[in-house]
Amino acid sequence: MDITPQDADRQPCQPWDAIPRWPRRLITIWLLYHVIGIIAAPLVVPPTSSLMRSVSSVFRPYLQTFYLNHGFHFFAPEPGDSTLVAFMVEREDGTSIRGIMPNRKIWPRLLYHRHFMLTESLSYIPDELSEAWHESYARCLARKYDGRKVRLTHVRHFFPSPNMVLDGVPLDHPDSYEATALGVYERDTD
Amino acid sequence: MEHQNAPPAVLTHEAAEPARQVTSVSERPSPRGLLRQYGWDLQQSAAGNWNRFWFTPTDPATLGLIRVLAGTMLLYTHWVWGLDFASFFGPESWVTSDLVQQYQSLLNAHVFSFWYVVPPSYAYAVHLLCLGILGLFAVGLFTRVTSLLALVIVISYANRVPTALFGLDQINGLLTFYLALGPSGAACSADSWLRRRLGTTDEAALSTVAPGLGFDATGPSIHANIAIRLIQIHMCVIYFFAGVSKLQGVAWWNGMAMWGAFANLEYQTLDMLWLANFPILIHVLTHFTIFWEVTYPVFVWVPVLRPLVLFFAVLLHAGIGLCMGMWTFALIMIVGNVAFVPPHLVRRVLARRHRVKSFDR
Repeated sequence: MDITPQDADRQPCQPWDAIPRWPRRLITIWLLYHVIGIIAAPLVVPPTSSLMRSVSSVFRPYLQTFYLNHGFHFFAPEPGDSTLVAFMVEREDGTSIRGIMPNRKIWPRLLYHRHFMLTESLSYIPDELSEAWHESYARCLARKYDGRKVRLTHVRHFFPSPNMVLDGVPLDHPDSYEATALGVYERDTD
Repeated sequence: MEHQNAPPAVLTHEAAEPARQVTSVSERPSPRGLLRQYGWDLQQSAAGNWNRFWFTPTDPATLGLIRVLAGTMLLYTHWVWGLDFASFFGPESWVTSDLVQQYQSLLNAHVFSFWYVVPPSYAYAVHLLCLGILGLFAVGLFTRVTSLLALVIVISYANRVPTALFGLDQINGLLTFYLALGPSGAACSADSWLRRRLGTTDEAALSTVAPGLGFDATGPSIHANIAIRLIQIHMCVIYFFAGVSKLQGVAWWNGMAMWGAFANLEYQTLDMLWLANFPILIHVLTHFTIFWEVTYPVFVWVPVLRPLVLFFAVLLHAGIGLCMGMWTFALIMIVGNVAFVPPHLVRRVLARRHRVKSFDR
């Protein structure tokens, strides 16, 4: 018996014919939406256009719900200075503890990077939340070291050029740090 | 089996041929006819390639291996949170739950986290429960359920501590999404081992093409293929944007960007400052990084170049791990690249290395 082209179309001859046409079309629509979405997400990292922001807004709720809304701008536009937080915690007995976040002795290394990301976040959190952010850090430090007062300092750490290194300048040279006071915070004992 | 053996292109071509004849009946085709013919050919070609790319069944071995590796990374990553749990998830954490929610709402983010509602007194117990679920997911037990729960866990932790995250967490998240989407427990899993032990499958069943999407299939399935394809595409998106975003920076053009990574004390785990004596090496590393990242989405699809591209992926990420101490990020990126390893190779390596025949399906 001859098979007409129409018959050939109808027969499940290809592996994908195992999925009925309409479910396959729905999956195709979702795949297109998903793939365009994950491509659109990095396109709205500044600098960007209003067109890109509009396009991205179509995918934003979906991507955010599944934690897929990422820019992947690793070390971009270029590796830069580090943001650190220096602190001094005063205790009830008059003693005090000084330290810097992140502490390079924190182990495992992943936990160190968590702390490093916390201090790096000070460079991008919205201005309207920055004071609350500092208070929250101070509260956490007061809890960790059983303190009553915490003094926080924002520290920028610059890295030296190759020529400076050749001249013997170490990476932790005092001049490579730039400190800005953030404030003094009392622990709320209530 | 016959689906798998049938050459995919033949019938598509035969089905398309009569239509071509119909449109070329006139003695000399008009420009409009040629255009219509071109449109038809384009549509047929696009549809055929699309179907072949997304809807050809594949062995779930690669997906299973990715689940083992990514699941182990998830377990480790979340175990580390527990080493200073109160500082990240307690009521007096670095960033309190209320403050995080204010931050998310300011960014107009549509996110959820069960940590927003878990009472502090139950928090550590919930954390231990999560570790248990991630452990089951890693070994592939009750994978259909534990993969979905793992996704909820990964998203919830990430949304509770958004400012303590970095690239590792993004890759963890997207791999978990695709592993929950696909039949990640179909191979290299306790589930498949149990199925074999309980005699619910046999060799013949394993070698057949799963009908339809192939939910819970142990053999090649379209479902497994979609998950692997999505991981592959996402890896291309990651490297492409990681590359082109760097092109905004002067240091990536003047060849000194890698120095910025090596000379940053907060990242440094291996002293590479001797490179100051050899700026040409810094330039080579900088320019090659950009070239490799930007070309990855093209070269990785060229069969003869793929092993080279993956070799340099391992080299680049091992360098990040060694010099900057970011081993977790380096390893999870390598795990993402495993999506490009063909399943037959995965099976051969597993069978040779471990000699655990009952575990390799």
